[in-house]
Amino acid sequence: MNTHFANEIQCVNVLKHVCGDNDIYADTPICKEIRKHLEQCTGCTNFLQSINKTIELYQVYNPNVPADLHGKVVDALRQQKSNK
Amino acid sequence: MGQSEHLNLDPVAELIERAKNGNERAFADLVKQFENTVYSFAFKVCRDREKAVETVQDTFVNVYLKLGQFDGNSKFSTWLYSIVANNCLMKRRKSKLEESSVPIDDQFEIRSEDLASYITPWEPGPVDAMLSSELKDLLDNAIKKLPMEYRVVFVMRDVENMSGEEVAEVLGLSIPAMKSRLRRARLFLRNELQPYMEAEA
Repeated sequence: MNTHFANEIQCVNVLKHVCGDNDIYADTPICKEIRKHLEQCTGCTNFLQSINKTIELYQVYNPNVPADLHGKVVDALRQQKSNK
Repeated sequence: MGQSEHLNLDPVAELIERAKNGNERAFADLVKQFENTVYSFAFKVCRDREKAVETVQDTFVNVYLKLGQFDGNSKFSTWLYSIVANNCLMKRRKSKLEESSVPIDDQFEIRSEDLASYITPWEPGPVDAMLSSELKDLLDNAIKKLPMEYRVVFVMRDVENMSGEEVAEVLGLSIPAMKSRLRRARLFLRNELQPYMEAEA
């Protein structure tokens, strides 16, 4: 495996593809080419890993729902009904 | 409605039908069932507890006013997300939610001259073990810098796991436009986290 980007022009296209919500596991010529490229290119593999990790971090960081949320929604609905 | 008709409806569809017919208990149950989901989505977009609570209130007031317009052709959750997203986008215009956001233009594309900065591997290991308060602050600050149009796409598609088609439908975007916003949002957030996440040599 190369320690750098295997082919700059190809790498830019691969990174745009993997970063732009495109499936890389489809059975199409372009996806096969991308998978083959990823096997050979450390730079693109590291980039893909960092994008996936960015997404995972935002997925696991969940807020605590305030205990009084339901009461506040009910208050807003009561206010709306009284304004009718 | 007869019992046989009820059997054909899923529990949410049944609640919606009853709420549409003026059943306040059914509407309250609908609120209870979806309020946490709406809060979670609103918070992930606003990154502000007070604004997220306001968004939940505004969303359910809108649901109350517009439930009659829900025709069941899309999933209720998709319809709900479209109301939340519009509320977030409207709040952005009214308030200072975006005072710290940066312009996302063509600079936020993948370019050959930036490739060198993408080589360094990130810290390996499970992400939930990495969530220190310092990293949480970083995640909050990074997403607050994204303009709302990009934030909403990223949260819907990547955090809430909606399909690309659903995100495009909810926001009234073409698929290429949705993908373009998503690509720039992912790249921007990744670059913001890079200094913290780089593995030590």
